[in-house]
Amino acid sequence: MTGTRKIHVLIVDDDPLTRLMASEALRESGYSSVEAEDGLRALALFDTERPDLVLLDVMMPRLGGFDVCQHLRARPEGQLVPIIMLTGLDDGESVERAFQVGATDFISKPINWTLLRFRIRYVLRSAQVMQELVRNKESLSSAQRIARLGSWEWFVNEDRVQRSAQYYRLFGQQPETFGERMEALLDHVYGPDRAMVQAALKGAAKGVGYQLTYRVVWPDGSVRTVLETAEPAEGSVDLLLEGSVQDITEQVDTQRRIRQLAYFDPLTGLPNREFFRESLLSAVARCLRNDSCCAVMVLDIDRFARINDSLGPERGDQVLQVIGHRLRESMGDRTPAEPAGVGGLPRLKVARLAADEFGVLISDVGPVEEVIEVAYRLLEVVRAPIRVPGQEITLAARVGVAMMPEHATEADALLKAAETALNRAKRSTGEQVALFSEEMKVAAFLRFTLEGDLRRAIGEDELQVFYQPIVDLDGPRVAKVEALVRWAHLARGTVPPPEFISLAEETGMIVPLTRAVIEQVCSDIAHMGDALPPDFRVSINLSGVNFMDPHLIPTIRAVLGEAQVPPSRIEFELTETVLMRDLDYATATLAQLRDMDIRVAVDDFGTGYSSLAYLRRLAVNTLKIDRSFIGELHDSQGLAIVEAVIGLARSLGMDVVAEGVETPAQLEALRERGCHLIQGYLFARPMSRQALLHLLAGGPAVLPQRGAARPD
Amino acid sequence: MESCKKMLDTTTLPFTSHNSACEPRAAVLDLAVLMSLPGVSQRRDAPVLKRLLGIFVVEMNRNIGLLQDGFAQGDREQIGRLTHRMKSSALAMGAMCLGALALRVDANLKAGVPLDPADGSAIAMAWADVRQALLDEGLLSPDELGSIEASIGS
Repeated sequence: MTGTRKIHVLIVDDDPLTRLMASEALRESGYSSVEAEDGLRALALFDTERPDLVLLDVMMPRLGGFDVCQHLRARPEGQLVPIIMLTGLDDGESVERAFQVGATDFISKPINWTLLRFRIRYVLRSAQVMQELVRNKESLSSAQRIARLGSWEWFVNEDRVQRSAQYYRLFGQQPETFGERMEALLDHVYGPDRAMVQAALKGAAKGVGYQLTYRVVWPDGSVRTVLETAEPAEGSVDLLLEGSVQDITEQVDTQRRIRQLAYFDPLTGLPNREFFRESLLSAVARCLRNDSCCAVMVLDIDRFARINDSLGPERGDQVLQVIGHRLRESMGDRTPAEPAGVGGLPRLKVARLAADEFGVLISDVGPVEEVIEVAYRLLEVVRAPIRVPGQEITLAARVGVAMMPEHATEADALLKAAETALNRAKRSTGEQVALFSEEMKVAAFLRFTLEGDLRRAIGEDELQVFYQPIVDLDGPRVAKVEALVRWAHLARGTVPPPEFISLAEETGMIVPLTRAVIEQVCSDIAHMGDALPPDFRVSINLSGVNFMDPHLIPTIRAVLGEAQVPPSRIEFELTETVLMRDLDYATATLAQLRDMDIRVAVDDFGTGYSSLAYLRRLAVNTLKIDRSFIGELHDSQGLAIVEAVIGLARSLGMDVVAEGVETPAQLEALRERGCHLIQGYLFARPMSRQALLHLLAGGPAVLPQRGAARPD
Repeated sequence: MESCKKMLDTTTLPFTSHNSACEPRAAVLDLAVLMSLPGVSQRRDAPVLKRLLGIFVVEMNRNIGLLQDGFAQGDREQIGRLTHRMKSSALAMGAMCLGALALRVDANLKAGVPLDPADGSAIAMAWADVRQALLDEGLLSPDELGSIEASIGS
């Protein structure tokens, strides 16, 4: 029985007696049978009955047994079916012929029925084993096909190779077109890889195994990648190499895509920071080897966050794509997105390092002047107008430059040097291109240590708040004061406010720093108590980071509440740029402050990018004219600007404060134009709380008289 | 009953042929072989035995007639084909003498030995003996045999 089904036998004999005896014998053995009286009938019944075994007589009319056997063996379903031929007694010729045509066994007539039963059992068992073998072979072949795996055996001494069917498919070939010898492989190997494969085959011929990745070219011209492993067969008398070949094209492509994702910026298609760094490592190594030079530039787009906010992120992305493309074109960077060969990095030139920051690597550079010239050329490229739907925008940028070996001989240090130079350029008002110097390095180091010190200083109340009076000429009286934070570093002494304030803004420490200032101011207000005039306010500067902090209002409420200071004692100063960044947010936040009776002044007015139309919407109480305009009062144009600002403030119902007044002439010019709130060294420098109290109590005469000189 | 006893005692070969062409001890009808056929299993009343005997008689009568024609015409091919068939069937059914004769003629033909008309007669005689043995043994009744042989002509 095969499984639970009865064994089914096809009896083919023109002798009805034999057919009847055979069917009876089979029935007694538990088999079922069907009879055919001649060869043609036998073939027809074979197709319909699908017997497990065939008993086949030799001598039959129309189509004899040998022909029937040949026909059956030619059919796919007939290749493995056991066929027992019924031959004549002592008919050696028939037995031989039966073997030739593929019969499984024979039995002579007159049939020994007992013997036949045993023969059938043996033959069926062998057939089962054979079928399992074939199934296993098919499974293996199928597995090889699925895994795109081929195998081969190389009988080296005979130079004879046996290759699996799948092997040829890996090359897009048929066995007859591939070539018989082992070296026939080379005809299908991609040119640049041929020498490598040939060398491996040479070694293999001497019994040396190998593992190799190489490319093959298909007849249609396509190229695929294969991984081949070969090793000598164990236990073989003659030299026999066994090998497997696997198509790994998809894995290679996947790795390439992963690499693409890992090393390339998806927005601009440029190499990313990691790729840039690796390229820099290679470039530095090459320079050291060849005793040549390279340069690194880091380019940052000025105020890109503002561009992004005003245009929207989608347009902002388009701008970055344009810039990336321009930089690449300008540098003549034709680097492909991936290496052309297996392994190795291209010598890229332009990369996107961060949001609005690009890196440029130049190998084999000449004098530094040439590099600086390139840097300025890149600035021009960025400065060229960019058209976005509905408008044309113009950008500016800064560049930091570092050279190897002058500034560093290691990749990370070189990049750091270029970034340090960039930071210097960003902090500078005029310098767009900054070349790294040792002094910058020292400054960068100091800045780094300063950051740690500032963090500690904020936590340990090392910062002090000083107050600079704002005088009302109409009093004259001290109308209010501006709170200014000062830091007396234990080791360095007084740290200039621009330095540590910018550091605080860059590092995010501005939030705790400002809170500390507000707390100190509230504490001082509480301390000064009744000494302060009823409408006296203290003005505190808020940076953009502070203003955008979602905890701003609750923090202010909490601090004022804790110190029990009325909000009407407080005024906040914000720059135009901060207010214009997000008008809806600014409108809402200023409205909340107004509702709390906290006033708001626009600091450094005239230096930012405010829209006068929107200025009306905002709950702003005061405009503070930037000191740079006060310094130009001797100039008719400068005077006109100040007049305009004063007029604007008046028309909007706002107060106007002039900052940085240092000379009586400036004072007079302002007074004549109706600006009566004055701040500057002409009257007083920032002073301590004690000094302020003393001043408010009628201390040193700082209040101006017409024509009086500035007190010391 | 006597014949039945004789039937059961197959070792004495009671139906030894008197055909001079046969080997002296070649049985006309070896009951041991007949009764051992698949489906018969030593049972004289096995249904398959009647079927086998019926086919045997039909085939042999037909083949003997064709054989005679063959010998008359000197048709070696036909004679060879027929004796090849007859030898297997006869020996399978226990007609040992008939089978032996057919085997001998088949072998002679393959060896190129000239035809001997006496062989045809001997084969026909051997068949007559088998036929008689079937009747004598009671394996077929005269009516059964007659009915079978009548069907050949129809």
